[in-house]
Amino acid sequence: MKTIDTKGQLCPAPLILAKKGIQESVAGETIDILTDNDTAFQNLQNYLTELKLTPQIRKEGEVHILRVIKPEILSDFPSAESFCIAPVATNYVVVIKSEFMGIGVDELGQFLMQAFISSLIEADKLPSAILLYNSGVKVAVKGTETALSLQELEDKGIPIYACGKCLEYYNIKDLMAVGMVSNMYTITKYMTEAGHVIYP
Amino acid sequence: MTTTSFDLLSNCASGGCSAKLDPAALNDLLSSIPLIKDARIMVDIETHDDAGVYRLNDETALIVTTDFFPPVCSDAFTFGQIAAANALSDIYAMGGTPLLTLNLTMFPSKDIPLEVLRNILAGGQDKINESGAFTMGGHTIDDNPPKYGLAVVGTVHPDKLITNAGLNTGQQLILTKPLGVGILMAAQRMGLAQKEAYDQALEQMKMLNKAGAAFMQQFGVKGATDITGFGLLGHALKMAEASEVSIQLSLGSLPMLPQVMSLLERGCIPGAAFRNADFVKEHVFYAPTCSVEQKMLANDAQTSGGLLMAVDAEKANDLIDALKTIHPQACIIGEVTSLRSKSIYCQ
Repeated sequence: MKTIDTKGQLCPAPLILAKKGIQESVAGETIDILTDNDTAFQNLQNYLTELKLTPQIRKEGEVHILRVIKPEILSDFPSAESFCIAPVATNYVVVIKSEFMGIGVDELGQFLMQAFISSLIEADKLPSAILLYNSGVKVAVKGTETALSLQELEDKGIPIYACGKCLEYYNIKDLMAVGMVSNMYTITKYMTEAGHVIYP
Repeated sequence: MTTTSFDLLSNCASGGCSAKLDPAALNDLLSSIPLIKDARIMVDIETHDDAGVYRLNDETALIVTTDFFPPVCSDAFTFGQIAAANALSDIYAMGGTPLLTLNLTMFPSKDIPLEVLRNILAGGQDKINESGAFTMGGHTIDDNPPKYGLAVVGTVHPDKLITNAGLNTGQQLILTKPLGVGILMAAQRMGLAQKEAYDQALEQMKMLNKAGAAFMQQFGVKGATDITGFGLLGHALKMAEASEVSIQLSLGSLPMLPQVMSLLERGCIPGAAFRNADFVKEHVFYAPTCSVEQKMLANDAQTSGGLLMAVDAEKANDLIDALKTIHPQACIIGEVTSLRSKSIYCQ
């Protein structure tokens, strides 16, 4: 148990004291951070949440107390690596390499792709990214059912990267409704670092 | 106490553009005060541009703007230079040329020697002279803490106006000055800033956006803004909304001043960055790969920051080469895309 008292101090001092105190703690240690300034409290709460520390908050008189438990790894740098490497077995990316799912009649393939993406919304484990290339970029085009489903996934925080060259090749860059324009570097990075790659 | 060693930071809590009122609160109250329209008004408050623009005739439009704030640094002359450069910047961001200025000054004559006021105004005049504008007078109120800035009138050919609404899909976004000014100023107050890093922050705040504006005209830029108190994302958001597009930024490629990343990692994040982050959060998608440090840098309040400009992709490299002669850290930080559900996508 450790107390970091930042009473009487204005930002950024409370954040600096909190970060230092947490870094110097041992994993599993409970840490109370005290502040008597409402703005500092708000900022501390946001900051600790960004650091994935999910603070428990309470108030005693004029003093706000934010309680955190030092994790094994303080996630300062949520890099692509940390998202992809950590739980190798469970982490996956979805790669949509064609607007059609499977090989057969196109109309059926299109229907299946739409069903796949909308099912993904309900999946127990969401992908860490969705990558679109070749005619797969067409699933992100305005006015399609697939774009609406992808939007729901993006709203859940899942990044969607569409190959910029492919959008240009099919001349649909201006019609893209969801996701980010990306490049082969990002797409390759996600594919090589993912635990699984799912090709619908 | 000698006048030359008076520390302007000794009697104020927050300085520069981070002293701005909470943007959300300001938006709310301004929405209840309707303004009269006029066909000659080319740019009004609605697109949240850097300045208002009024068409006088087919050859000339007037650009009007004002900006003032409490001290950002200890030295009076330097503060004057920075405040003037910051106020003049709004004219440059619209592609214009400063013509006339007025000094807006608040100064506690009983608490601080008047010599300090002279130095503030002399610093301001230094930058006004560099801009080529003429000082027409001003107004001084006895008030504490000191505040200084300018009201500026500039001119631009109506066809050469550069606004928030001028972005087009496919264009590349270029930022001229590195970010992190707010973070370094907070660090300076805490005694954490390295001299070299802080000095570089002061140098870039003093630097006019004059050359950047000239290059924008040379390369046919139609959409740009300067980055000040609302941070990169706040100002990018205003451009995206005014242009009805989305903006995609690569946070990993943001240019920054020295020491800034290590300060962010220590938790040296000014309150204004949190306020700005809160203001834009409904309109921004952050990919999970964006670190808290990158997000806070993108929301850091800048004082006299650089120009954020959109240029046609095929001209981007030439424009960067031109800008680098003045702004060595100028670089492409993102691109303009078609309108999506969010205004800004950060990866």
